[in-house]
Amino acid sequence: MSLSSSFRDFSLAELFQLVDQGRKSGCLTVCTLPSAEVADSKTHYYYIWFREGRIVAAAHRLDGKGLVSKLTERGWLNQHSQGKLSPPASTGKPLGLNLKTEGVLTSEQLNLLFASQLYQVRDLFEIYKGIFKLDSKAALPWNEMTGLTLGALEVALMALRALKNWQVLADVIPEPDCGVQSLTNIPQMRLHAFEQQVWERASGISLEAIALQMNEPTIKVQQAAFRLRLAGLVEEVPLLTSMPVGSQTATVLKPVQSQIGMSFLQNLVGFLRSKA
Amino acid sequence: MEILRVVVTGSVGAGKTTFIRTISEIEVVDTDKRVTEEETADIKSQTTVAFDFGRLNFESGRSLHIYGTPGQERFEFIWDMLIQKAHAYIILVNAHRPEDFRSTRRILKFMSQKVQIPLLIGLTHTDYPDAWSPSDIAIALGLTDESTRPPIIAVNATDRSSVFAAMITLIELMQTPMLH
Repeated sequence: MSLSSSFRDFSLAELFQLVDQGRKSGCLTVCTLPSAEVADSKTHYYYIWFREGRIVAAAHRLDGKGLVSKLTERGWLNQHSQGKLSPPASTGKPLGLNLKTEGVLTSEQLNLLFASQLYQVRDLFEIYKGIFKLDSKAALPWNEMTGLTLGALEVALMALRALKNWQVLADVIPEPDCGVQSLTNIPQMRLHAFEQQVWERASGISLEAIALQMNEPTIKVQQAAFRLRLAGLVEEVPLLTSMPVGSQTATVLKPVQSQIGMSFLQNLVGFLRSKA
Repeated sequence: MEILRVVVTGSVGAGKTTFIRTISEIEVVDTDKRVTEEETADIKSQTTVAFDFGRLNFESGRSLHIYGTPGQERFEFIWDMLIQKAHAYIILVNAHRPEDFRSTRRILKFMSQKVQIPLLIGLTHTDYPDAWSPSDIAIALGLTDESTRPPIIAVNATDRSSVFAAMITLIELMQTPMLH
């Protein structure tokens, strides 16, 4: 089965959550569509590779020379070093790790290379017009891999913290009058201070009430709540709308309707089976 | 008269009206109107604006009533009215329209915040080549915990045996104690 859509309908943040939680592997192709508002806007392709929900590489080309290009740009790989290396595809090991084993790269340099791949990914979160497709059968791109990995959800949170254009996510961030409830006693991931404060106040009150308490813009709280929801740390809950802002709490669920007798259900199942 | 009330919900074009027509013994009472909104018109020419109603009398004095909600969110008050009286519900999801997953998620959230009754998720259009897999759709709908996730099955709303099988699954769910 395929996994494809457009960013207008399914954001990259939601997709990364899906990849992380579904422990997906494969190559995600992102194609940006030209924008009428931007002069000389063109279609661009980007590729992100995942293994079991973690990002292992990213590049804007498919010829396997993205990482080597970054190395040569930085002057970290000369022709002599290149000649010493076995083709990574034949070793089944990431190129970055091979270079480290050969003494060509240090751990710090590998970190920087992986960070530069992640910056490319982060920039994709700003895209509004684009389509994507995840090919779960794609082979691992040993030539593009540093050997370092990061969970797709962590990358999404990182990208959302740096996001400038939240218009991209206008349809999915929680509304100001939406109540939020914490889902855990202790977050299992490192939160930024602002997110931590929103999470601590997520006791069924509305986001605008939290913003009032924190004396912060509501939109900033909405954005933090979206990240917390993506991370599975809060959920949206209904509010009693007649109550004033600041005192809103979650409603109590209505009990199940009057019970239907077991014989009714059994006979209905029997009837449906006979007619199916 | 003993009546079991089942609500069939989901976004526009998920197959709710078709599902009810397939199972109902009476001509479905529908409130379809010609679509005027541009986006909805791309999907179908007519859409439900109040609700659909179908019925199945299976014994003397015993009946299954099936209500189909409108898919558009502006009719949220009708969702509320119908789900408050329901004993169980089915959410239909068009598996090859990821653009509908957000609205389906909102419907799911709305319903689960109103009532705690047995729920079945029926995936329609799963035969399309670009249909998403059940596990991917589950995550897209926010149903990440497999242990608490409602059953998800493929449903062909035009096929009698498929629709009956979905209804049987739902009723069997009602026969097991709910875990909250």
